[in-house]
Amino acid sequence: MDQEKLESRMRFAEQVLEHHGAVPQDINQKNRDLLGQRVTYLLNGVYYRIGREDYDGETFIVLSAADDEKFASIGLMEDIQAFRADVSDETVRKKIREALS
Amino acid sequence: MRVSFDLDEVLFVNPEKYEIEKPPRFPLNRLFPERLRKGTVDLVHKLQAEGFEVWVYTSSFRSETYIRSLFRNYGVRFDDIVNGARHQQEVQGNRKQTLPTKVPSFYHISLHLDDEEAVIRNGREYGFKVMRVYDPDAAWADKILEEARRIRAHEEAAEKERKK
Repeated sequence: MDQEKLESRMRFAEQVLEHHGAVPQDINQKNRDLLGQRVTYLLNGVYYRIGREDYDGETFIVLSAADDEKFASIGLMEDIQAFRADVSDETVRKKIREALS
Repeated sequence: MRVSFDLDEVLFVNPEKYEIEKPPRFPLNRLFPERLRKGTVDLVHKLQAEGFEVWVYTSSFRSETYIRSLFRNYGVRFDDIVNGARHQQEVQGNRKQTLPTKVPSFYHISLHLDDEEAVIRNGREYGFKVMRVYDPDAAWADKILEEARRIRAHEEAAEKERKK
């Protein structure tokens, strides 16, 4: 999957988060600038971030989470969901819904 | 009645030494490297079906969200989770005296399952019930169910006595 397509899939995953009520936060700017980490969202007291990870040569979109702002603000999160980057919109919605439930 | 489980060496075990539950599918098996002691899923479901509240009480600093997400892959939903951070904040708080790493009685937990001898000793000192779960034991889940039922029967009898 090329970079442009991957970016579009990750943006879609973020839109799904927003659809659930997640609100973008103005934190972790240093790691966003230095490491290219994406925006952090807050929903029901939990911080979330979309990212990418390669497993066995395949690209996955990963949802990471932190309960504590002090960890989220330095980009320290735990991965809680992953799905192939090329899955359908419906699968992305389902995987994120499961992770937020 | 509340029953709580420690995680490491109790529900999370070394697959080279213990029989384990079937791990989640790829890639979730990479995200969640912990492996569950065989019988965990059934045991939690049975306890909840019998009306017990089932909690996690761990001194680890895995987040509540991570723990819930991990167990969701096995179809397990805990009633509540106390991790190291929550214990620090709610149990230890600003107390000058250093409290044990777990104080289940603080959360009105009637039975706690743990592998550490120190937690059992603390139970005697601080007045909470701990059952030790450690070595591989095919009957571990039955023993816990039996002990939980026994404690509940005892608590109910004591409650009746108080009301007389």
